[in-house]
Amino acid sequence: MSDSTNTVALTAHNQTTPSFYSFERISSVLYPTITLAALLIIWQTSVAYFNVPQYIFPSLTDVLRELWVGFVDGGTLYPHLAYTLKSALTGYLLGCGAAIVVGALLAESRAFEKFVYPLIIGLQSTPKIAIAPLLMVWLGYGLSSKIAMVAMMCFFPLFVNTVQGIRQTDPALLNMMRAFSAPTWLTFFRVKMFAATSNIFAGLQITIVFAFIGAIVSEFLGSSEGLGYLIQSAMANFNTPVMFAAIVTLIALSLIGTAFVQWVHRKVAFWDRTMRNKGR
Amino acid sequence: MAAAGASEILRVDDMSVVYPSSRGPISAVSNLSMSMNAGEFVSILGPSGCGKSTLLNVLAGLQKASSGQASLFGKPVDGQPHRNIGIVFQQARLLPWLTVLENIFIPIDAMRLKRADYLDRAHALLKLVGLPKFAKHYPDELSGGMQQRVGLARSMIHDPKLILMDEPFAALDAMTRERMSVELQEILGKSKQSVLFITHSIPEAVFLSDRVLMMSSSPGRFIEEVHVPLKRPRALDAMASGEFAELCGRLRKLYKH
Ligand SMILES: Nc1ncnc2c1ncn2[C@@H]1O[C@H](COP(=O)(O)OP(=O)(O)O)[C@@H](O)[C@H]1O
Ligand SMILES: [Mg+2]
Repeated sequence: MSDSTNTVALTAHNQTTPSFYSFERISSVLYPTITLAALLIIWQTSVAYFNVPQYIFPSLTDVLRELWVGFVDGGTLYPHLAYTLKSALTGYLLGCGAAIVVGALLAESRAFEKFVYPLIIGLQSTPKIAIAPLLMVWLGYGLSSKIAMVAMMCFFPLFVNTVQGIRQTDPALLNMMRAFSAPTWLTFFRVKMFAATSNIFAGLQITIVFAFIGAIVSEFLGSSEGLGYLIQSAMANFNTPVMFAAIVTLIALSLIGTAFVQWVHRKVAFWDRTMRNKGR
Repeated sequence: MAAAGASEILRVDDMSVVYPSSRGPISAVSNLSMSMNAGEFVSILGPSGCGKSTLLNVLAGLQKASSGQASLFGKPVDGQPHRNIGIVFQQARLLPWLTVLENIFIPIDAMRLKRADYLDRAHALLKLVGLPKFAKHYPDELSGGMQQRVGLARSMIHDPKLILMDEPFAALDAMTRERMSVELQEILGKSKQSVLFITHSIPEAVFLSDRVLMMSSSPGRFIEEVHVPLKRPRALDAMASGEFAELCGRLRKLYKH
């Protein structure tokens, strides 16, 4: 088709996203920022006012100083951040990749639905963290046991989401494909995988947070590096500013990870109106 | 009207469909028999729930008859979709993640034909349904009527001999609906496909058809056959003619509420 129709299509898509400087967009950031600032001021003043000892509860400035030293003036936090990121992201990619592939393969199988799926749903409720020590025994205290832990934490929720997403495909669309004699593989790749996109991204968003939990927990159990290790070792000498700095870093990681997954979702699911309207 | 000696393309013999349910079997249609010749436009008219979609789904190979038989082009359909039919549904059923052009290519991809061989035809069909500039648009950028036209183009891309239409205009507003009837008639005047058209609108059936088969309410059976001798092409003002009103009146008397 001509270029002009192409631009029409593109602008039609853009119109639904609010502009970058719209009131809604600014206020959605501004209002929670006000609340956060108020909380931080209360924190700083009340720690000073009640004379709370630093090893119990550090002041805001103590924590900021620790973050400054850790990231700007000295960079002592970087190796730990890198280690945690490496295990969390590698495990996330492995676990999520496996969940999507295995989920897609098994969503179509009747035998799997009858024999295996109920067990997996049941196992969903067991705390995966309880298995972490076992992974240490099997894989040692290095990076691989952490990656395995993260991958396992990520696998199950996303696996269930993938299977459900594929199963939720509008039967009217499947009927349409069948009426045109579409082979199973075409229906799968042209219809079901797209239909499952929202569910898969919802899973990817939950599991990015799980990935950091998994990494930290396995570092608690035995590690010589990582933000989890840092919290653990700071605990031994009541160095609460370091603990806070590590926790703040973890919160930032989870937020950035979640925002990134949402951003990718919007880019991928361009046809989904509900996604497009979440422009902020 | 079918030319004399035209070949039979569709045949239904004493067909019944029974659905199992928790309150015992439900008979959806019973003892249906009909046939259709090449080039004919036949409407099946009946109140909702009388089993029109059930009949069409059996013909489309989407479900099996409980007894009796349906055949297309001389071969029994037995829960296996025939490649020489096209189908249009009440909702357009387009894939929202594909462009209009890609949606139209679904039957081509499904039958493992080469898209390149059908590209010209796809554009010609888009022109025929009045959407020549919309090939690269996505379905949610189109109105309901435009989506339904894409569905119509999709049903015709592989040049099927017979198109099955299940209340294709029922979800549209009255104005669009009338306009679509006129357009469908123009399109078929050029493409010469046979159509089995399902509707619960009497004027729509009379306006479009060579023949109208009337179904009773549930369980559906054929109760009347009406030939429509109105000359083609028919314009909307044909609906104002006495002959048109008389045909509608005859069918309306049979409509059980
Ligand atoms: N899958 C099904 N299971 C059970 N009953 C059904 C099913 N599909 C349709 N029916 C019943 O069969 C009858 C005919 O349905 P349908 O063919 O959809 O009618 P129409 O298209 O004329 O409105 C209705 O009473 C409906 O409730
Ligand atoms: Mg119906």
